[in-house]
Amino acid sequence: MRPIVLPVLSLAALLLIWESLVWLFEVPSYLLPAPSSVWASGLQILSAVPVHVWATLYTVLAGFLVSVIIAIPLGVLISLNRVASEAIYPLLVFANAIPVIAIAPIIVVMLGTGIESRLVINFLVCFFPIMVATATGILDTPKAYLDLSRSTGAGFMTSLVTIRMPHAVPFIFSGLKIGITLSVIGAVVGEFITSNRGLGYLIVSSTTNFDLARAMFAVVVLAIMSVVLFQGVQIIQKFWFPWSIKAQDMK
Amino acid sequence: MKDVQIESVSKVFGADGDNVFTALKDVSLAIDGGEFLSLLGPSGCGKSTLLRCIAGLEKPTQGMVTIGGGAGKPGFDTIGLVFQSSNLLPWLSVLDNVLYPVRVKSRSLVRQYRDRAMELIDQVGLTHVANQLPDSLSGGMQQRAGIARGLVMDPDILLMDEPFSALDAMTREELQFELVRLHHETGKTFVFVTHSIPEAIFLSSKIAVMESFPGRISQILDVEFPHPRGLEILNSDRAIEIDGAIRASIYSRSSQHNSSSKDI
Ligand SMILES: Nc1ncnc2c1ncn2[C@@H]1O[C@H](COP(=O)(O)OP(=O)(O)O)[C@@H](O)[C@H]1O
Ligand SMILES: [Mg+2]
Repeated sequence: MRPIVLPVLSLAALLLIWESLVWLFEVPSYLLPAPSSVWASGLQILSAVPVHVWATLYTVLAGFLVSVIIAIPLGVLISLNRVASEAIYPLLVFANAIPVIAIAPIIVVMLGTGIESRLVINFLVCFFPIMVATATGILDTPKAYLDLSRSTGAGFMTSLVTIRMPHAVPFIFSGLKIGITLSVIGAVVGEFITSNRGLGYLIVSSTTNFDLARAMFAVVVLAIMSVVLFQGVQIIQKFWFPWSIKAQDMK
Repeated sequence: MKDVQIESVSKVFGADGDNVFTALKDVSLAIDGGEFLSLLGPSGCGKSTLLRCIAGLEKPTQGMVTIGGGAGKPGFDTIGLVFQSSNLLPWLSVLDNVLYPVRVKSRSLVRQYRDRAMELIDQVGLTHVANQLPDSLSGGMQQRAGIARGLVMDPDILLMDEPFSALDAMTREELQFELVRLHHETGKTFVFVTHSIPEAIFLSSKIAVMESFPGRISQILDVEFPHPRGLEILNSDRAIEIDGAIRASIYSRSSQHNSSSKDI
């Protein structure tokens, strides 16, 4: 109980202090809205919220999925093949080094204002940690496990599927947890540059009208979405790979 | 029952680099079918390397290992391997771990071998945990599962690399009894690596004593005690005699070592 009650109490205290400071010093709401006005402005646009949430969520999940589908096999490839790794790894490091906010406008010009641009932006933000985590997990496979598979006559593919991949699972999930969080960031960046709905759009359109209360409400919703998605990955891991939770804790 | 012939095997690590190290030099050893042979020697003398050469995990730099008189590579179901740490895969249940060698051979065989695997699990007393993951098991139970896995393909030869060295003394004794029984019941050829002299005497029908720098066999001793054996054989005159012979060959060499280093 205590690990839930304590943070809730301190959050409540924080909001209370914030609220009273805003009232006490009569801070104008275009500089710092009180929590109560953030809440009120949320209620105002409540009916529109699901549309924005869904738009962002769609980008987050689609972008994440594309990243996972590309990053995991790529991670396996670069960990196992020296030539592939030498040929493409530096490029991937470079691609990852580009600040996404800098390249996003270029991508939009190239690919248009549709979902494609947002998927590419999203991919650029979140594929790297997933790929690196996968490669790390594959390379971390204990020699004794490989000896076991070799002593039973396993070939390269069998040992990849029955030893290296399962061993990499807890590593991959670490990458996925970082990736899903980054995917939310990627989606918001995409929406900042080009979109007519989504929580990122809501923030941009509210701030241009100095409606900080509404923008902050969108931020809170985004944060909640991020936490829920992170927990979602955790739940998938617990459900399908329960053994990997312990393995991860030990790392 | 297959025999193992080790003929003038040498193993040099890093032969093409700077760190040339001769782990085995000109090792010859004949292991009869059905024998319980222990490789005994101090740490670093090449016991594991020799075992890995028999298992086909390491290729001798010189010489060769022949199994069952057959030329060419033996099938992988000729040999079962038991590791020092149990080396169970943490993502598989005990049953699936025991079935792992079957899974590698062919996925479609797994169903067919289930009953055999369960039987082996029963023999090593793990039926109640067959569906649990290995990390919920004690060290002794894990090592039992490792032995069951080594036996699942019904190999002719079971190779074990210090399988009990990580266990507490009591569990160790218990498993030694079970191993003797298992050897007696299956009649398979067992090759057992250890650095414990009493363990080697209690278990073996033959002991190959090894020395280091370079790794080689210094002495081969027959241990003729009849089965079933009890721990009291360790107090018999013959056991004390064997023990003395082993210690003499290990320590005489290390004292030679000391005196020669003093000379320098
Ligand atoms: N792959 C390897 N590369 C280089 N040296 C090795 C390798 N494997 C073993 N050795 C060396 O060979 C010697 C014998 O090792 P090992 O067979 O493991 O000894 P033991 O099992 O008797 O303790 C050790 O000195 C070890 O450092
Ligand atoms: Mg060893």
